[in-house]
Amino acid sequence: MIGRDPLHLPVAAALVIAAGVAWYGGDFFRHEVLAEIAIYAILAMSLDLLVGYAGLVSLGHAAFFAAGAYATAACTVFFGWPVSAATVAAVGCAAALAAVAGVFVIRVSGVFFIMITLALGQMVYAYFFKASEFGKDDGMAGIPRPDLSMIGLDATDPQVFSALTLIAAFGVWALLRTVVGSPFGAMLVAIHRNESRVRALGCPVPRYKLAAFVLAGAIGGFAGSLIAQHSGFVSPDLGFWTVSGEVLIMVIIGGMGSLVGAALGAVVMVLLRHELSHRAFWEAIGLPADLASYWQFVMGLIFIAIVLLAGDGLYGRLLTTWRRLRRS
Amino acid sequence: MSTTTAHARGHGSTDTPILHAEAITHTFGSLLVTDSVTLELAPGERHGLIGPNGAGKTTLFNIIAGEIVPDSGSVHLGGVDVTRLKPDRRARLGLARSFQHNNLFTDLTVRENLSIAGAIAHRVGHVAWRAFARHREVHASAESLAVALGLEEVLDTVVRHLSYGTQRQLEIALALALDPMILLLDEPTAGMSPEETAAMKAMIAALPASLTLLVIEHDMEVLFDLADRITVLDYGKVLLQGTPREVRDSDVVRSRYLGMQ
Ligand SMILES: Nc1ncnc2c1ncn2[C@@H]1O[C@H](COP(=O)(O)OP(=O)(O)OP(=O)(O)O)[C@@H](O)[C@H]1O
Ligand SMILES: [Mg+2]
Repeated sequence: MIGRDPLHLPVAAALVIAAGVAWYGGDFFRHEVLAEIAIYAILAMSLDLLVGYAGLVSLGHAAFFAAGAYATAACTVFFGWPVSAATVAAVGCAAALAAVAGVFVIRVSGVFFIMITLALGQMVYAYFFKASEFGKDDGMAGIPRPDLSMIGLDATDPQVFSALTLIAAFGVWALLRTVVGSPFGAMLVAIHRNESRVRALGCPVPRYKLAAFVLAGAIGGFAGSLIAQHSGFVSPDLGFWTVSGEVLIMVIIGGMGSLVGAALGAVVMVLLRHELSHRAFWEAIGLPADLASYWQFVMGLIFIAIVLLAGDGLYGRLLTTWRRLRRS
Repeated sequence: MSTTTAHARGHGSTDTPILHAEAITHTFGSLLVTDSVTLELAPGERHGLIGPNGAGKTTLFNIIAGEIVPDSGSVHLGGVDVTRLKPDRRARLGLARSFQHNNLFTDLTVRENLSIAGAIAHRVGHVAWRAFARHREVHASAESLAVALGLEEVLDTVVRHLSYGTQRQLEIALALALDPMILLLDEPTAGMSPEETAAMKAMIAALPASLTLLVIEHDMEVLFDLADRITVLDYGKVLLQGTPREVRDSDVVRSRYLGMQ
């Protein structure tokens, strides 16, 4: 289960080094992208706990992203709380939402689970879209970043904030790594592989699924809090089902059931989104700059290629290649 | 048909049955698969369950284990009414079962299979902050169980690469890993070679005397040596309950069951 993955530490180390190199000497734009990558990596890793480990394919994970973002906005803008307290509250709100929703959604499985989580996400989206106290479809603006003056730093500086999000992503990785490597993580994998047998062995399956759902939701809320601090505003779009779909794609192309795989998926997806939509990118590789307007089409082609060439995602492909090389 | 508990192996006559299924009736659509079946097992009893294909043996197991809620009737484990309890609760109360068709974690190794069962048995499945590898007591008991059942050679083999007979052994091992009070075995020797059957039979015979056993078995010889008492099911009804000798000598069983062999 866990011990049979010899690459996770090297790949995690490579990602950390790459992030460090990219961060060091990066310009404004680079730091914006790095922060975005880090935040989506957190979201993708939390979803991977559900999809890759517990086998719960959720298409509503953006619900927690949005809940965390709005909770942060409400606590800072309405109540004037410090960002640190708002972040804690955001995690708590998302966890509470996951606990309430989880009681219902974990009763079903397979395609019904996909559908019911999709409905959950759309309900959250629809709520924020209509709620006048949260600015309806305009959302809310003026969300601050953490006050780091105590240690002589300024989080409004993109370089500082991107470092903060990268450290947060690393922390989430370490936390989830501990969880999936624990007996609880082994139970989730066992539930995924053969639910009826784990139940017959005495495992209270619904309780374990709920715990995983709440943990994933809480971390999703953390990512939402960071995205609110990153952009300074929140809008209902954060909870739209396409966001859930995008995160699911990150997990799938990165490699389900591997945390670094999910993070890798976030890197690839965010980078592609930024590069392909830039005219300069197409010019740099000697193609017509107008292709930039077709970036979503090109991205679709790339995903199809990845899924066809690497059924287990990029990380899974890496593992099989490594195993083949070692055998020969 | 006797409804008094047979006190096998000299257990005290005041023992309440450790497993008591009372007047179980169940239908699938219009098919009556279990027809007011009553079963009482004294602690430590070895009980056999036989009957032709489709007699409702596996269904009765599923009802006792909690996979199926019967239309009527009750199930008690050690005096506790478990009729409404889910399978996992019953398992935690000391009831383990093996499946007629292997029901394993086929993508995982034998060691991982046994460790999963061990984590539940050791009540550490909820621990999320400490590495599984550091729960040495779980892995040690998984290993010693593998040694006891002759699975030590294949500990690190992925289950789907194992022979059918070895998978069958693991099927039983998973149930034993729970260190149960009551063990239900659904045709443990099904599909095994004669040598494997003999080994399985010896393994079952060597189980601790305190363990209560209910075994579905098609191989009559296995049961006649092993069981203190046998229940014969036929079309969901209890045809006969008695010692192996009584069952073997019964005319009705001869004509209805043994005659079919
Ligand atoms: N879930 C189900 N739905 C409908 N009918 C079922 C179901 N499970 C079992 N049956 C039917 O109930 C009857 C009893 O099945 P059961 O599996 O309990 O028999 P069995 O005695 O274990 O037989 P075998 O020796 O073949 O294993 C059979 O006719 C079977 O087809
Ligand atoms: Mg059967």
